[in-house]
Formats: sequence, structure tokens, C-alpha cells
Amino acid sequence: MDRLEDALRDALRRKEAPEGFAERVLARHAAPAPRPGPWQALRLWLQPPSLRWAGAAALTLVLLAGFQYTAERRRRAQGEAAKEQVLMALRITADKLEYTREKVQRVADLSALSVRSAAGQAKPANFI
Amino acid sequence: MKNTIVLLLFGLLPLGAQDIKFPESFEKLASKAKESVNVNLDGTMLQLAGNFLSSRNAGEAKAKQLSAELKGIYVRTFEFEKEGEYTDADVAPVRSQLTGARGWSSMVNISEPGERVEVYAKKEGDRVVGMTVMVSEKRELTVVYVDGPIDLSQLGDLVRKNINVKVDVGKPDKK
Amino acid sequence: MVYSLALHFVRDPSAAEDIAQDVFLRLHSHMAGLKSDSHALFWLRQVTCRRAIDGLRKKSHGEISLEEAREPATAPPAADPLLSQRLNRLVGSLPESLRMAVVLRYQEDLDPEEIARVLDLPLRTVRDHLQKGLALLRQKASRYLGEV
Repeated sequence: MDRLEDALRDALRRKEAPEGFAERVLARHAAPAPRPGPWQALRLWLQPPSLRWAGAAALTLVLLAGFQYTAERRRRAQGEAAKEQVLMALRITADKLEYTREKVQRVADLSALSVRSAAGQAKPANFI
Repeated sequence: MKNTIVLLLFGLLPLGAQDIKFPESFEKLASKAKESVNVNLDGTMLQLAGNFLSSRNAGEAKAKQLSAELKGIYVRTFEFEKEGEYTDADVAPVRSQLTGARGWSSMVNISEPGERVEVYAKKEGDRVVGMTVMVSEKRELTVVYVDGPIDLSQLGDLVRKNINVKVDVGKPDKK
Repeated sequence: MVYSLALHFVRDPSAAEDIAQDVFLRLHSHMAGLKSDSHALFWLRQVTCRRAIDGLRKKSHGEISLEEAREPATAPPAADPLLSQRLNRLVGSLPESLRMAVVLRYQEDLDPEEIARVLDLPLRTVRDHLQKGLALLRQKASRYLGEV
């Protein structure tokens, strides 16, 4: 997977609908409909308006809640993954610094040894 | 069979004003490695991670404290099947950014046959505001770049506390 | 998802909201025909794509083509915090046919086969669209991304 694709995934991440979206959908649903044809009028007459409205409201809210839940789940998954990465990164950093410290200690010991040596010719490892 | 440990990559190489970048030639070492670790955490992701690090767990609390002020953590680790899979020429483009960059200075540089350990620090006054550790071993190469102020004395605790980290073996790259 | 798909395609928040509202209102009348959650998701994606494409064709947004997209006078610095915005702009200037495939691929993480089903296009066409779309984006985005 290349960097452009990663960048596109980031740039095209799902965006939340603006505030008040659900209310506007419901308002639009409740707005007077254009004059229906005769069969449609009969169907509408048979269907109580309160149910129509409630159905749309329930549907919209359920859908929006569902999508928000998905977004929250995704955020949670990202957060957990980021957490594991931080722990991993810090652990690797600490391990390598510990390794470095041991190396430095060994070199320092060798340097001390070469200074104390009467011959004074022991060559320590390169240590800047 | 190559076993690649690939952690999630969040976006590109980080887009903040970090000093050190991993060139393409360096990144390509992953294709030769039997295992690799690739971490890119910018400030945003560190903040997100911080929300999920538990204060009740000693190790996570320490990690949270350490990473709270950081602007980024970037890690590349390559473990090779055999010696000679990479050379100093592969590491040089990263090193040259540190030896040339303003504010950065070498703190440790130890070379032994087949191994080299380097630590570079960026200082502002008395404060360390960046650190890069490069450990070149015969079959493993690690570069860690930490962007931001870091308390080195606290890092040691993470080794001692032996933090348990979950690692998922990544799926093969989708073509 | 619905709003986001529309927004990434038409790049106009108020047009995207209109499209999203339309889709939800249509969903209400089609509920009986939806057999499962996955069917509903498929239906939403398909209808959103169709509405977005129709919406764009009816309305001129004055978008500039990818070829006309102005490049900065100098190459931007490597650390570019506005990369996502720039990429969005570049995606928005892709030809419609390529753009929707790219948005479905990278927003919804759909495979080419799934995209072909949503857009009711041959698989080969979708793969072609994705390939061309990425090539165009790579060409224009290379200044911001270095080697991609």
C-alpha cells in the first residue's frame, strides 16, 4: 500500500453530517407534499399521517445513530491501535537506549582499563 | 516465509514540522527484512492514544506521561534473515540529516565490528527537545526518532516494568 | 456515510446535504424492499452515488479540471499540514467517472468488485477508473508527497 493511498484514506475519511441534519430531514418529510395522483391519494388516506411521520423520524434517527455508532467504534479502534503503537514505540526506544547504555558502560570500562594499564597501548573502541 | 509485523500506518510520513524523514531508499529495506516495525505517530495520534492509555496501569500511565508533550514518535526496525542485507550506505541518508541539522548534536557514537550505536539529541537551551537513536546490528537495524521533549530517566522504567504489548501480524499488502 | 460520500463527490456542503436528505427520504419509501443491513448499506451507497452524479450534472460548480489545477509557485515545504485539504481538492477535480470510484475505494474501502456492483459498471471499467484516477492524482500530488 503506497503513501498516496494512505493519504487518500486519510483525506477521504467519513465526515459527519452537519448539526441539525436529522431535524431538517424530518422537517422536509413533514412539509406539504405535491398534489398526489388518485391512487396515491387513496394510499395516503389509508395511512395515518402520524405513523408516516413517526416512521420517518424513527428511521432517520436509527440510521443516524447507527452511523454515529459506527464512527465511534472506528474512533475507538483507532485509539486502541494508536495506544498499542505508542507502547511499542516507547518500549523499543527504551530497549535501544538500554543497549546503548550497556555499550557505553563497556567502552568506559575499557577506557578506564587502558588508562590504568602500565603499557597504555590498549586501544579502546571508537568513542566520540 | 517472510513474516512481516506491520503496525497500522496512520497517513503518510508525518506532516508536522519534524526534522527527520525516512527516505524511500531506507523504507525499501522493509521488503528485504523478515520482520519490520513501522510506526508513525504524529501529535494528533499521540493525543488520541493518550486518551486510551490508562492511568490505572503503571506502565500505561508512564507511557502517557512520557508522550504527553511529544509532537511525534517514528520508529523503523528491520530484522533480516542473514548478515549483509543492509549496509551503512542505507543508513547514511538518515544520519546525514542529523549531522547537518541545526540544533542536533551527537551524544553517543560507538562503532564496533558489525555494530554501531548512535544517539543524537536536539537541545533548546538545557532542554532536550528531540532524540534519535540508531542501532545498527548485524541482522537488525533500528531507528527511533522522538520529536519533542522527553525525559530519558523515565524511559528506563518502561524496560523495567516489562510492558506487555499486543502485536498483530499484518496481512500481506493488498495489490 | 451518505453525507460524506456526497460531500467528497460534489464538494459543496449544502448540495451534499440536499443529496443526503433526498436519499434518506427515498429510503423511507423503500424500506420494505430492504432485506438486511448489508442490503440497506448497499442501497444507500448506490442511491447516494446516483443522486450525487445527477446532482452534479444538473448544477455547475465551476470546478476546475485537474489539468487546470493551479500549482503553487514554489514547491511546498515537505511538512504540509494541509495535505488532506489539497488531496480533497485534487479528488474533486477528477472527471466524475473516476472520482466516484476513487471516493468509494478510499472512503468506503470497497474492493473494485463491490464498486462495480454499487455503480452498476463492468469490473474492468472500475479498475480502469481507479488506475487512471490514481495516476492523475499521483502526478499532481507528487509535489506535496515527494515520491509516491
